[in-house]
Amino acid sequence: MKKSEKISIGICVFLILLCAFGAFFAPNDPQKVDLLGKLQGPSSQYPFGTDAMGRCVLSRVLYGGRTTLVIVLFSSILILLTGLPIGLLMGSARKKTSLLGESLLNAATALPPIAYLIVFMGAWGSGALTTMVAIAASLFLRVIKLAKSKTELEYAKAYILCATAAGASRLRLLFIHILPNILRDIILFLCLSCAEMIMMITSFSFMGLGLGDDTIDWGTMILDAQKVAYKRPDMIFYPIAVMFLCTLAFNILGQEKRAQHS
Amino acid sequence: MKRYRSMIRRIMEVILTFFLVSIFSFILMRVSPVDPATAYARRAMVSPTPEQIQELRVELGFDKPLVIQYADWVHHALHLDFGKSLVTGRPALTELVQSVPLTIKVVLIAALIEAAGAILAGCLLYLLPKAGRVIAGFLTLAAISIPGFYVASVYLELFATRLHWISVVGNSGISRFIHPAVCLALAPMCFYARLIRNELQKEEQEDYVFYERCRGLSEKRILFFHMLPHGLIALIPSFLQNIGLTIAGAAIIERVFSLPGLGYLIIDSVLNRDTPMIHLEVLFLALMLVITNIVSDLAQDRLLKRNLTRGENAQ
Amino acid sequence: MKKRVLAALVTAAGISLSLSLALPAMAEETDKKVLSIATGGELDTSMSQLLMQPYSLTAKKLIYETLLVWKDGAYEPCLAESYEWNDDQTALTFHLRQGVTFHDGEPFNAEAVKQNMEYRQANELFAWQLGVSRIASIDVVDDYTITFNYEVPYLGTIDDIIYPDVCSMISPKTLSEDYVITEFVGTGPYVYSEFVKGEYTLFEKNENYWGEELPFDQVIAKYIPDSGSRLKALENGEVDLIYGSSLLTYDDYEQALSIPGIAGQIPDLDEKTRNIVANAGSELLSDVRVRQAVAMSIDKEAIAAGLTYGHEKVAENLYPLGENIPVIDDVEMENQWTYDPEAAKALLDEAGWVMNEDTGIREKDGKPLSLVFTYANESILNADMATAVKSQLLEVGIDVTTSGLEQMLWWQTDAMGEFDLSIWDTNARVFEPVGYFNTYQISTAASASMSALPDVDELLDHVSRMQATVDDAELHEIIGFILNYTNNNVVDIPIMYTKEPIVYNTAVVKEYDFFDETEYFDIFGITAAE
Repeated sequence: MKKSEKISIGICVFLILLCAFGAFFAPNDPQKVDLLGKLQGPSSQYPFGTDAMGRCVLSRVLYGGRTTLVIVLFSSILILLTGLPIGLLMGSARKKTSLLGESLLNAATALPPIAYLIVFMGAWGSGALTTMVAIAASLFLRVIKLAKSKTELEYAKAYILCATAAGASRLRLLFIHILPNILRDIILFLCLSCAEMIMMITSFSFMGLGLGDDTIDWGTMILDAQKVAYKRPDMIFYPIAVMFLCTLAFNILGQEKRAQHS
Repeated sequence: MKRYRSMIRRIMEVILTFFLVSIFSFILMRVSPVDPATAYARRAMVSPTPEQIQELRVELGFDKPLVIQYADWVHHALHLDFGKSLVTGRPALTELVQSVPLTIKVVLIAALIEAAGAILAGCLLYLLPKAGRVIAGFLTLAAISIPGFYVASVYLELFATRLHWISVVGNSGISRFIHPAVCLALAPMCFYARLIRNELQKEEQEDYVFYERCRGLSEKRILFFHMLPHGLIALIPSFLQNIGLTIAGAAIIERVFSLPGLGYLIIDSVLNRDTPMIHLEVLFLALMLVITNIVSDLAQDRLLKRNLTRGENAQ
Repeated sequence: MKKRVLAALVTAAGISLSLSLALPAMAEETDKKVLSIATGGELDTSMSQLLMQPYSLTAKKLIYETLLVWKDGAYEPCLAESYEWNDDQTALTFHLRQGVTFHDGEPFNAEAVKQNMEYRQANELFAWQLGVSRIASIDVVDDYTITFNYEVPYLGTIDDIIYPDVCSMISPKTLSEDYVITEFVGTGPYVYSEFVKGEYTLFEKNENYWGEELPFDQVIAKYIPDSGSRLKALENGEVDLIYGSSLLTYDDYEQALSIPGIAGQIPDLDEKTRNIVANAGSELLSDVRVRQAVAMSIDKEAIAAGLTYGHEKVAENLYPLGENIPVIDDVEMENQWTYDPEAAKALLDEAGWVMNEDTGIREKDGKPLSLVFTYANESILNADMATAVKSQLLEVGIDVTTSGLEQMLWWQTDAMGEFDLSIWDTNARVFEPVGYFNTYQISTAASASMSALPDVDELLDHVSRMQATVDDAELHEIIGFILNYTNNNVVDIPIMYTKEPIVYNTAVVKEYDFFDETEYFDIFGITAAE
């Protein structure tokens, strides 16, 4: 990898970690209400000022990062660990997978994550758990499909033939030979998905289908900031900027390697 | 034979998609904490008694086993009766049919803008000198990372309130759809611009480019008539699929622009737990996706044939 | 060579961009005098009486009228010129205005009124509007005289009959069997003339209107669901006024005021009471001392100042005493739970809830004092109020988990008593005080809470008596009892009284004079600018 690429990847990862763990550096309690001290401008005690309920905006932005990234990263890792093996196994199945099974998978993944969100929220109302389950469900199936199709492609290649001829077992084939080759693509996909998820979670909570009451997230912060734009026009920029940087970081990570890959 | 098999597979997928989608949403609705009979009763009366709720439950068929309820629903659906919206009391299909044209117009116009814009921007990205390329590359990435509602909000603020070029509401004719379409098109346009640039860069390595340069063809000609078409082939299927996805994502933009289209209807239904509407909307989304998938598959097949001479595997 | 292509592309981009933006905006008709108002929901089915949708409140009174209206604390004639009671207040006679026709040509007379009333009576939805549901019989004395007969006298009879969402007079031709009204025909100053889905609803001036001349030939209600866009439209001059709490939060109101050329008004009149119900039936709140402590830990002043910019008045009692509301006026309250965190802490200590220094939450027998606070998340102010109360209760060592629920779920949860605290407002002012007390008989948060109290039957008995008498002394005793009962048992904790704001463009509207039913926008209240 070129040095400039290494640097940009490093910056992106750093940004993401900052958003995820920044809550530790929050100067104030993000939930502490102080009705009489509402909508103050930036000060030494409140670097980003206070919101309409008198809470510290900076702390809320940092905690919002923790909420969003925990959902996104946690789901991604979980799905990587569970969906990838399943996809690998399905892709290497000796007998042809049934028409039904494949069609089922295609059908399920045809629906975008937003459709999953709609159905789950329609049934259980909005909330952190519902959002996580909906996102996880849709992502899980997509990773399986991606892993499966990539595995099938790899199977047709020469080196697999050689390894099989040399007596490698199926498991060995899958995890020692194929996995490293498709891992990169899967991770790229997950990075882009993370960006998409952050956008979706924020948009949904902006529209009122949020993560639940006591949860702090950027979408509700943006919504609140819009309502007091005349008094504190700067307030909307903090959550938007952080959300933007985070999404941008994931997008860069998801793109960066591709140029080199092709 | 292969053709036949793939066609069967496609048909099966279509039917399966519909079943899956309807079963999925159906089951979830029925196991939700809000009892549908209570929801219905509460909307019709101020304070229903438990007896009235039970009566309603029997009348609406909510007491029958899940499988029978689903069968009922399918039966009605095949007759195009999707029940009544819990919010307005009007047939769900009517509500849908009234809102869909608005969204389709916006999405189609957005698709056109995306296509034209992506090609334009993609070529620009490809042609710019190094410094410009880095900046433009960054700008496109930035555009993908900004949330749609913010873009729409700022757009309206700028062009309506500050510059008075358009109205907040009541734009007539095509003006009503262009502005939401522009906001909707921004992110996908930049996304595809980058992909086009990548494809163009790949194409440059191909033999035929070298050959044509030797023949003395102008750069412009090479770019537009040879490189671009080859580069676009790989992207067309993905682009067509994306249109289906955009329909779902248009909700917020519609709300900001006061356009009561499908996206807005979906959000409303979810907020109000309007079960019959949600079933129908999800089904419709699936339909749209299936259609765009089929179209993109067909396009892929046709283009693949043309591409066979180059021995390259289209996406 | 490459540069030429580049140049060509850039020019193409530039041209197409400017072309797309140069399309003209809609030109408004200037020959007619038009008033543009904003609406947040479609004015089609919501204009029907039978679905009480908040969005229709802005437009209902344009086309519908009632027999009387409530203005400045008294009943004024509208479609009825006068009314009288018989001696024991069981027969109410209206003398109807003559020469009034519905927009579709049907004559307005006693027969039309009778059909209207019978239509409502048969509908479950109005079961708790006792002035309507308890009509024993209707006498059509002559074309313009009609009498409603009741078995017992009831304080809220006229109030029920004149509430626009209950008994606006609609043309008998539109009364349909299955309660789905599709044509909106009334007697009002404007006619429901055109509905374009997703854009606007047009109301034309009623040329045959019986009442005073109005300055506007047309009223257009423009459909703008997004609150930010509504304010932008106001700023842009596309909308002349925005009315009501369903369309304006206090933040919106303040933001509108900061726009040059826009003025706003908030009436002195209060509408509903924002009320928190404490569940006496829940395990943690079963001790009345704990409920008292909760009431005394809430700093209502801070909430009113912080959430409503001071526009809403603090509610010491469920209804404002001493403000000339009949029957309530000189009720004496035995207790007042004023803000006193120290006293609250003392009460909690006394009740056995000891502070755990590590968590900051009080505990008893190993259980933390953790309350569940539910509310309907339709209103953003509810969410803010819950958050504010949560932080105030934390000061005395009570932990609160707030739970914003979708309206259906919230009602269900509360009616089943699965909450500790809940926001449950009273009804429109015109119905009070009896309206809220009537609901003690049906499933609500308050009734669920009180069902756990040993002497609740006495309360319900008082409510029943209240529904059958109009004797001043008796009512005074009954209402005094009820108010004190709910207050002493800390079932209702009133917080603030709501208001209905209006903002308007000063170039079009000079001033607005609020009617007593501030929920509804009334076009007669407008003084147009010259």
